[in-house]
Amino acid sequence: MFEEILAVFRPAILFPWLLSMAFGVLIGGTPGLTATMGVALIIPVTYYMEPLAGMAMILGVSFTSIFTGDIPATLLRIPGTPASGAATLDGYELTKQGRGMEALSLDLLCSAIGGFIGILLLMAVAPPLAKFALKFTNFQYFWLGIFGLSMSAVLSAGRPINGVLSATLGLLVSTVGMDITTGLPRFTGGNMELLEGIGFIPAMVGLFGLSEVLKNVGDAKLLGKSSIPEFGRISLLRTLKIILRNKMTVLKASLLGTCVGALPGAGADIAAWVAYGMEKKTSKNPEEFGKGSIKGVIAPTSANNAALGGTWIPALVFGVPGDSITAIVLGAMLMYGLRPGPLIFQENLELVHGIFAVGLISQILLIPVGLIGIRIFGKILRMPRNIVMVIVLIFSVIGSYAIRNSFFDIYIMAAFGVAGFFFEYLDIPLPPLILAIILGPMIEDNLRVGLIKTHGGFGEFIFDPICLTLIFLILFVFFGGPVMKFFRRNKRK
Amino acid sequence: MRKMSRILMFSFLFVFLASAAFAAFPERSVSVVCPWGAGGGTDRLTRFMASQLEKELGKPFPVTNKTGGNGAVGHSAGAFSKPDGYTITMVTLELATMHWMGLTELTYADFDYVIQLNQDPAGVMVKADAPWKNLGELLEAVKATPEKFKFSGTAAGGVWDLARIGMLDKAGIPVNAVSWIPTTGAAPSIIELLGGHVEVITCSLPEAASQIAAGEIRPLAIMADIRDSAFPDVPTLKESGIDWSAGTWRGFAVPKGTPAEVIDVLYNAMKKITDSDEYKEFMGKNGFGVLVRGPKEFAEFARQQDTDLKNVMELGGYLKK
Amino acid sequence: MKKTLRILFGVSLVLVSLWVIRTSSTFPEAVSAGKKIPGPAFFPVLLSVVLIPCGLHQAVSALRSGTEAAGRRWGSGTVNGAIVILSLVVYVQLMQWMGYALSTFLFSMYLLLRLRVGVLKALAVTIITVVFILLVFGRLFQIQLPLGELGIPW
Repeated sequence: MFEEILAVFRPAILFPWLLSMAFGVLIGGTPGLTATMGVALIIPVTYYMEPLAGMAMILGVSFTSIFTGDIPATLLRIPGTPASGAATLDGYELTKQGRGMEALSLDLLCSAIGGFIGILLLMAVAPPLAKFALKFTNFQYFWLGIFGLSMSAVLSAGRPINGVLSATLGLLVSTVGMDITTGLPRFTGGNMELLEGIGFIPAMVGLFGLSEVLKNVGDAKLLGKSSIPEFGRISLLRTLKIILRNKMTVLKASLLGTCVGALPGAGADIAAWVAYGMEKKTSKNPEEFGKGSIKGVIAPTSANNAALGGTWIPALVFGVPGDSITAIVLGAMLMYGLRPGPLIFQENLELVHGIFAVGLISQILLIPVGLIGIRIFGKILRMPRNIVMVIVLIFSVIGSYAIRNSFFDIYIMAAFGVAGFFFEYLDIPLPPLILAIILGPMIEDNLRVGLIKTHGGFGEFIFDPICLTLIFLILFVFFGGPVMKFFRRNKRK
Repeated sequence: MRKMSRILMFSFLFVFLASAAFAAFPERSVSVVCPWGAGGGTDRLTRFMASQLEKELGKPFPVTNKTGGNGAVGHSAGAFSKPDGYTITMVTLELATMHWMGLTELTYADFDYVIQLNQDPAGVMVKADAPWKNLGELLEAVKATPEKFKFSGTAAGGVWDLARIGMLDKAGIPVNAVSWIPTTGAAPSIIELLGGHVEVITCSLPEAASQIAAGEIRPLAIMADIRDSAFPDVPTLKESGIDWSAGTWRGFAVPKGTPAEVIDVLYNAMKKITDSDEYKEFMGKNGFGVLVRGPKEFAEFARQQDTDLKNVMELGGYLKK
Repeated sequence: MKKTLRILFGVSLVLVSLWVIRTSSTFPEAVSAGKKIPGPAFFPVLLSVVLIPCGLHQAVSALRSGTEAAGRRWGSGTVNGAIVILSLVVYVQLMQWMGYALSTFLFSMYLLLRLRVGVLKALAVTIITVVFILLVFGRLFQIQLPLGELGIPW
């Protein structure tokens, strides 16, 4: 392993690698540009490099952008990537308390540690974990989707019934477009642009970006002032101490994140919510969550970066993608003349070790790169509101357009922005809505395809050890709080 | 003989230069529409061709991914742009199927065709530990208990579903007796097969190449007229007495009514690319089957596909009009 | 204001749900191996059935909440919000006509000045933003930014 680690420190690899991490900062921090899109965009550049340099660029972009997505989420409550939805809760609360820097440095170190653990698991237990992941099919994915969604519905600020409303509405939005099992266009009104459904990127940018702009321009008195007056200072040592105090949270969230990532049907976005929810539900002080809890920052950010390592597990072991990023990675591997899948461990063991080494070192490099990112975005986002909001607006428009070169998506963004503004006013939480739009197809398609498999029977959805476990967990999410309280009270007696 | 060929070459060169001087196309950048997402197979081919065209014709060929509606959005954007050759579209098999499904009014007739670049025949694959050693055994088992069988490969009404329908029909098996498990593409179907959740997949062989090489998936047949040189042991359907071949294809087209000279310039440049070693290497690496057809043959092929696939879609119950 | 809005929201949720149920009833049924199975209408109808009580709950709890609570003031802020949305629509129209750079420049300048940023500052912010997007999106990521019908090459 030692030679492999040395071997990646060559200019031919190191230079594009660092460059890609700088890209990652831009992509993650810009609402509308996602990690997947970033990877797709740099792939053509990597064709002219050696395979390991290409892989280093992909790893660099994905890990950095999943972290930097948390920066606008923490500072402005606008998630930079879908995986940062959970960071808008406690991270943003800390910013409001003037502890934004503290939240971000925690976020950064936990991202790096989570990513590190994810890669370690990838190296150590990839084959058995991948075998386990294959057991999941439509029945299990259906419940997993419901599980992630109920976490976000119950845990977002406000009353759970409003969370359920928000999630249900989001699921309804996700049914717009072509039904995958029959190809039937639903609720499109004959509009071709709607056939593929309402894109979750424009929806997310609108719900969080534009609605935030509307909220801010509405308050004329505050316009000339910065929205983040107090920022705090970075102290890595102090941050490290906090992490050491919460080491079990980091560890649990990272393990959970990697396992969720290893499932070919689930990725970093769901991993973050599941980790946040598990942390809150098993916490002794659940009432602190949503009010600037340190654990509420640590859990989702450790999990989403750990999930990235997890997504490489099915990719390397079976040659099947773990998420949309690794799907592109597999295509790139073909371009290099590699054969992704089980044989890669025999035919290109050196490259596999190289990928592991790059993955591990990326986490260490992430810390200085991330700090620079925090500095830059911190500077920009701390400008007076009237300037920041116009910049956010322009990026929201261009970002929505750029996803598939569609003006229609800009209008979708605008519509969701207005809706998001009113929902906020009515205390309807937004994170369940966007997660439901993302997970809606996963939930419905798995339900419907599962029903095709069973010829309409529901038995397979229930009588299966994994399904039963998930159903139990979902019930726990909804009714676990009172039950836990009951047990604790009895214990004290 | 050598002299002869040299004269021939020079005259070709002369004609080529003369025509190039005559037709000033392209004067500016040509935008290339790809109806499928960035990072996928069609996108890789589009971007490769665009970069080669840029070298060949000396003007930029920026690629625009206009996805949506199972390809309907991108194909329409390409077809209904100005017919001046400055917008070319990567057309795929869905052009022949989506209007039958009622997704769009667009048909093959809205395009003029430049070149067909590729064709990938469907395969028939089972898990390595499955009891069926060849296609005959599989089809016998399907005939005996059709409701037990789950096939997968792509979305309902997608190319691999249509390939499956045609095969079963020609083999005399009622097509709706087996279940088609819709997925978003070949990769998730491979996961389903490896996990033992479906019995058969019908995507192209190169899409499962690494699992085939690792001995985890067993290919039983290929739906082509001749065997694939990359998989010489896999028999064709015709060898098993089933007269059916099906697969996906890709190529470039321009809006109907584009001047013939412009199409010529594009075709000549693209033909040169497809003759190059780089092209063959690229196609080989990506597992794309090479099949090049010129403007007339491609147009005829697209028309033929349109009627052929209509029948299959009717059998599958996908026909909307 | 908040009370009225909440009632409106609840009622419109119920109406949307009813519309979804009605539209879904026209969807074809699905069949697997000869048996009828839940088809394209199943999931939307299920969601509507959940949404109707949610909507009623919104409306009823707002009605019960008694007097109108003093919410946010709807003064010049509302005007600014409306201006943002309107200028956004105009911006998209302009972008289709005159391309990315020019329209973004106008949009950004208009809004910044409207939000009382100094002219020089506004100009600096606008130019930096426009050029930054041009370089990063257009050059680095090779995203085709809108050209517009005027055909200005950027």
